Amino acid sequence: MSLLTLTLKSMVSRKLTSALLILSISISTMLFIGIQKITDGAKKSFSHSLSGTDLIIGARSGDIQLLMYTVFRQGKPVANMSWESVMEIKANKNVQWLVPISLGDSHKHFPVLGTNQAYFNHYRYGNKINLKLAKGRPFNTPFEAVIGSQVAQKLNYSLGQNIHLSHGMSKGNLPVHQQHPFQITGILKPTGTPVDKTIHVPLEGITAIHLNWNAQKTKALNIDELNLTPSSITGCLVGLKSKFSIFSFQQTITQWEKEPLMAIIPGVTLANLWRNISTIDTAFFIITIGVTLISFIGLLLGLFLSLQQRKNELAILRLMGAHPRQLSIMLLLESTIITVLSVIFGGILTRIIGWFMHPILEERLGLILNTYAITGTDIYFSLSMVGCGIFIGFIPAVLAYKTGKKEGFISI
Amino acid sequence: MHAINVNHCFFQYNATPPFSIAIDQLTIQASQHLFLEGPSGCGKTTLLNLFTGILLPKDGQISVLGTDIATLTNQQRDRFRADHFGIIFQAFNLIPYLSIAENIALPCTFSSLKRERVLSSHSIEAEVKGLCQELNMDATMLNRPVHELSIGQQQRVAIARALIGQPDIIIADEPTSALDEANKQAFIETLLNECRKRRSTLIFVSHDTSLKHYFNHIHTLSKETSACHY
Ligand SMILES: Nc1ncnc2c1ncn2[C@@H]1O[C@H](COP(=O)(O)OP(=O)(O)OP(=O)(O)O)[C@@H](O)[C@H]1O
Ligand SMILES: [Mg+2]
Repeated sequence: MSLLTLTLKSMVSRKLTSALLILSISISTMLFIGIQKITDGAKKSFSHSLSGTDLIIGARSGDIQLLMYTVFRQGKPVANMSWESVMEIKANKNVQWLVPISLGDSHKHFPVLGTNQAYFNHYRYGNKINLKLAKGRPFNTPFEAVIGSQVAQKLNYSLGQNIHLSHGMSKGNLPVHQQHPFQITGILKPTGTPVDKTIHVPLEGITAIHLNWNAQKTKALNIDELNLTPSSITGCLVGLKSKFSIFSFQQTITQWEKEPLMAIIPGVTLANLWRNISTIDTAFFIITIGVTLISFIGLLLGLFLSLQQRKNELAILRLMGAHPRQLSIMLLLESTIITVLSVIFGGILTRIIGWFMHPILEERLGLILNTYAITGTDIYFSLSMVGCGIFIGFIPAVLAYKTGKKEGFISI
Repeated sequence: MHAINVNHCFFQYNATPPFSIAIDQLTIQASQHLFLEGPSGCGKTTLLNLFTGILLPKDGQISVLGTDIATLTNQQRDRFRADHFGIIFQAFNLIPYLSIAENIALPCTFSSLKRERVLSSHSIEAEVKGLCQELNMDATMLNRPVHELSIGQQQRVAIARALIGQPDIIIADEPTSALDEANKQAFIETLLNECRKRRSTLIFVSHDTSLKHYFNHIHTLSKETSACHY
């Protein structure tokens, strides 16, 4: 029989203690990995979601709020900005391009975003990547829609299908804009950003379904005869001709006379947001370290206890010819087995909990999480966890060695 | 050939009051069965510890199978003990979480000599089975946990464990103290029988004089050889 089997059998004979130790360490593993995944996911999805936009402009509110709803579809806009202002901004000599954004409607819990052709030309994410269509074409007429990859996948939609939009974003049975269906003309490639979960329609389409016309009138009137220019929108993304004008142009927007507007620099606001998250993250991190520390102290205690309980047994092994070194190897093996099992179990636990939490986090916080992939950090972390366990195991192992060597420890 | 030869040996514990033991001359021949007796506290266990190299004499020499054990390093002594001795303790000396079979095979884990001796004829499992048969233990008992055995059965398991791998010297320190009269007789007869078959040296420690008549060689530790200085 090897020392490993001997150790395993001994651990099995002390199942309760071993199991509790494994449980406590796997919970700290789970906390560690979980928190790291969430903050990682937050960091990634926030910084990944928008690039190449110099300013986001909207009605005056909080800068993080504006960012959250224009980019991440989280929260609700307090007020809209008028179309006149939009046109005026677009006409400004500093502005190279402008993408209007109109939010507020949804389709089966997926947000609907009203915009125009400029969106497909100028919206960029990640490392300044443009949106690409997987199938079909951008919208041309008011009642066409381009859907994100997740919308297509989750709702099993294909090109040419007609969809009805609902008013509002909240859950439950929403009043459906039954008036006019939108036809899907394009499906975007996956981006790993909120775009994947968005249904894009022309601003005119949004205006049309909000005009209080009834079904009869719809048939009577020709869409082309109506003025479908929106009176107001949620906000807009702006690209400037020169980066040097960012601050002065931001100033211009802040001092807008017709209505209270604000302009945010996405990167700055992201950093702001990140600072907010970081505080929470640090708090969690400290708690996690505390929990881990406690569980490792538990491990140490458990190993000491095991050493104490097994004195008689270790003496028998010594008499059978076991070298003191072999006794310490057994204790080291024990701590290694416990931490390795804990890390594995903790990983599984993270997955199980991730599986439940995933949709909640994605929906509530708009995070794009990757709880399934094992990253380098996970491996690094797991190894250091095991390293800690082995290190902790050295303390009772050295003690076992000393005890085993001590004259009088064994006697016939 | 001497199994054990003691020459002008003196030993003293580093304790207060210091107990000391002095043996001028003691020779145990190979294959000899020795009954070591003496009143409680006279140092019988201490002497066994000296034989097996667990303790080292402060003065004089103890040679086992021709080797002066004081010349060995700690590790060599551990190995030497594991290789050449089979030890039966007073009681409670089986590992509780191992099965009977695993307990019997345990010495082969730590002594490569014992392991090789067994493997030279057959597998360790076969050896364990054979020993059990010789000791009248049911083969179905082998995979049962230790705590399901009676004390008498446990002591038979201890004999099997001491015998595995053909050690040269079997040492038994008051192995019968927890047994009743009938079990005691059965135990000693089995043990002697097995040692005779294997031509092993046996050193049997007991203060139970009723077992004395089984042995040809008797050594008595007395208060003269050992002393407690208060
Ligand atoms: N590790 C030790 N340190 C100090 N003194 C010890 C130690 N072990 C035993 N002694 C003392 O040595 C003396 C002899 O002990 P030992 O165990 O050898 O006696 P024994 O003959 O085996 O007795 P018994 O028949 O009761 O088992 C006792 O007085 C005991 O107190
Ligand atoms: Mg004794």
